[in-house]
Parts: sequence; C-alpha cells; structure tokens
Amino acid sequence: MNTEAIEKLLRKAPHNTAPAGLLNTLKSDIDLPSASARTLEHRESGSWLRRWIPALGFAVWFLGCVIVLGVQASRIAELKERARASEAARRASASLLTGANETPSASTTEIEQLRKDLADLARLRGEVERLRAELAELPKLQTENAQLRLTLKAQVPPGPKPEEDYFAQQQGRAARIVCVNHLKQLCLAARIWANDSKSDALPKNVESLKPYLKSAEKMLFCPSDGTTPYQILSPGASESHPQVVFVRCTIHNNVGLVDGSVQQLSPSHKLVQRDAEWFIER
Amino acid sequence: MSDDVKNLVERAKSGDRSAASQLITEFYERIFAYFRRRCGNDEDAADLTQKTFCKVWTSLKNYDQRSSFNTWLHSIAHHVYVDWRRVNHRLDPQSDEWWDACIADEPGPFENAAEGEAAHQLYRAVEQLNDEQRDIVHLHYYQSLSIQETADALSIATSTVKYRLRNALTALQGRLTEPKLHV
Repeated sequence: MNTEAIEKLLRKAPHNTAPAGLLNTLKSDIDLPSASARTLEHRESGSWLRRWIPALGFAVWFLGCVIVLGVQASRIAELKERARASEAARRASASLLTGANETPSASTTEIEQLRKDLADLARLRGEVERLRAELAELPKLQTENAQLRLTLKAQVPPGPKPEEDYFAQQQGRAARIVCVNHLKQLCLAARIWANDSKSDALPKNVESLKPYLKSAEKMLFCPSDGTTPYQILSPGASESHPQVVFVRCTIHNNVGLVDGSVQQLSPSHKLVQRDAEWFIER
Repeated sequence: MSDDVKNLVERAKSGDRSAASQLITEFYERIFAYFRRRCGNDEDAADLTQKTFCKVWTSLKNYDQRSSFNTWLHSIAHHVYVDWRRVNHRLDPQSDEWWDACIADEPGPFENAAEGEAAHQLYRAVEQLNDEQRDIVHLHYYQSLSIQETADALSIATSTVKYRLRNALTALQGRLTEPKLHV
C-alpha cells in the first residue's frame, strides 16, 4: 500500500456521533466572558491572594522583626545613656569626696616627709661622728701600718748576695763596658781638642771636651749611678807620652790613656804618679 | 476562518449566548469525535468536550484570532486531552478491540470489504505509533486540519509537522507490509 492510499484511508476515518444530550449540556454550560467577568475577577483576586500569601506572611514577619529590633535598639540606647549619666554622677561625687579630704591628707604627708628628713639628718650626723672618730685614728693606723711593713720586710727571706746574683753581675759587667766606651769617647775628644788646638797637650778640664761630645751630660759620668764624674788624672798631658793615664773611673777602675786606649785595671794594677803624670804599674 | 465563524466569535466575546450556541453547534461533533477516538468511550469524550468548551469560554477574551477558531479549539482540545491522560495515567493507546468495535459500529465510507479490512489494519497501526506521530495523524487526517493548522494547534513548526507526518506514513507503510504480525 502506497502513501497516497494510506492517506486516503486515514482521511476516511470513522466519525462517532455525539450523544444526544451533549449539545444541550454544552449550551447550558456556556459561560461567556462578559457574564462571568465579575466571577473571574473575584476568582483571580482570590488566586492572587493565595499566590501572595507566603510573600505577605514573610513581609509581615520581617516587618515585625524590624520593629522588634528597632524597639530593642532604642531601649539599649536609652540604657546606655542612663549608664553614662550614672557614671558621670559617680565620678562627680568621687571628685567631690577627694576634694574634701585633700587638705588633711596633704598636711599629713608633709609631716611624714619632715619626719623622714629629720631621721635622715640624725642618721647623717651619726655618720659624720663615726667618720671623725675614724679620722682621729688614722695616724695611729698609719704608724701601725709602717711597723707592720717593717715587720713584714724583716720577715722576708734575704735575697741572693750580689756576688751570687747572676743578673747583678751581668748588669755590672754591662755598666763597666759602657764605662769603657765613655772613657774611649773622652780620650778621642781630648785628642781632637789637642789637634784643633794645634798642640800636643790634652785639655786640662772636662769643660773643653763638651763641644766634642754628642751627649756630654751622659759621657762625663759613669753609667753605674749616672752621678759619679770621671776624674782627669793628667790634665795637659802631652801626646808624646802615650802611656800616661789621662782619665779614670773611680767606680770601675777603668783608665783612659793619652794614646786613646782604655784599660780595665784589675786589683793587681796600681796607678803611680811621676812628674805630675800618672802611669800604670803592676 | 469563515466570516460567519469570525462574526460568531466576536459576538460571543461580547456576551452573545446565541452566537456561542451556534459555535457549539458548529464544532462540538468534531471535538467529540476527536476525544472519542482518543479516549475510547463516550463518557470520557463527553466530559472532555464539556471541559474544552468551558476553557473556550474562559479563554475567549484572550483569543486574538491570529489562527482560525477551529485551530484554536483543537489546540485547547489537545491540551485538555494531554492533561486528562496525565491525570488519569492513560498512557496506553487504544486497543485493537476498540477499533474493531468502532469500525463495526459504523456503516463506513469504504468501497468494499477489502478496503475496510485495510482501513482496519491501518487504524490499528496508527495506535501503535509513538505519541508525537499519533497526535499529528489524529489532527491532520482524522480532524482534517491543514499542515499549518496542525502546527498551530500543537505549537510546533510546520516543518516539524511534515517531518513527523513523513515518518508516520513510512512507519505505517512498513507495518502494513507485514500484516500477519499485527493480526
């Protein structure tokens, strides 16, 4: 069967006849818009109310909440205001009470302070008396201190003898060598002075030698104590007598000859004077 | 839409009951036949017809005559039927027995017994189509609505109507070529 035949048969589908009373029923049910306008509006208004009831309910509840919150907020603000007022009144009363008690309190404090100052003054006076007593005892204490020092020094064991002290020996030997050096400088200065004087005689005093010495303050004294001057034994000695002793150290027994040499004399050596000139002999 | 129907609609809008009566007289049998085919019994068809016309009178003020009154009426009838099916859970199509009884009751426009037999098979095959194709066949062929009117009544595009019609005819043709399976 092709589609045309199918369509043809479909268009011939049977039509059932309506029941007899249906037409009258339908006509009796006619409810035209004009006649039913009020009913529809009423129905619509009813449905509108039903539709908006939840929203209206929520709005009423929300409005109620807002009102309650507003009332509570105003009540809280009022209570805060009262609290502030009462606090201000309390502070005012407290300040009044403080002002009433201020004068006695101040005088009491001042008296207390004066008493403290008086006690401090008495304490300081006692301190001064005690210090004065200690000051009076000071010379006695110093004397005791000196005695104690002497006692202590006496109790200290004796040190080594000078001849046993190695360091003292070395120190003495070094001083003797320096003394030799001084004497050599003096003899050299004397010979230069004689050369400058165009004579063969050496100077007669140490003052003539000072211009020829770099540090005359040191060179003219023995280095052992720095205060013992060298002794010119043969002033004006002639260079033609080179074995004549020109200068001597009385501490170390060192001698400087006219020829410029220096000798460290041992105890076996003796200085002998001949014709106002000194010589070394054994 | 004919001028007479337009005139009757206008008069009914203005509250003329006689015009409304004339509109009922003009269309109630077609609407009843539509429901009779779809529901399967006179009582439900009569109830749905009444409900349809009640909705017509209620919605008549909103009818702007952009489509014909017949189309608008069938649109309301279709929605009434859909609601009725949903409320009553009538999701199954008409049975073969119903169509047998329906055709046997009618004298029938068929030229011979063979055509009547073919029509019998065809109507049973229509009830086995899906809902969309069955709605199209009922409105376009059984209710004699045009393609455009069918599209307006179902609120779909004409191209959709044509597509569904072509699918429905193809399906019917396929089912009629294997008649033994459906007898």
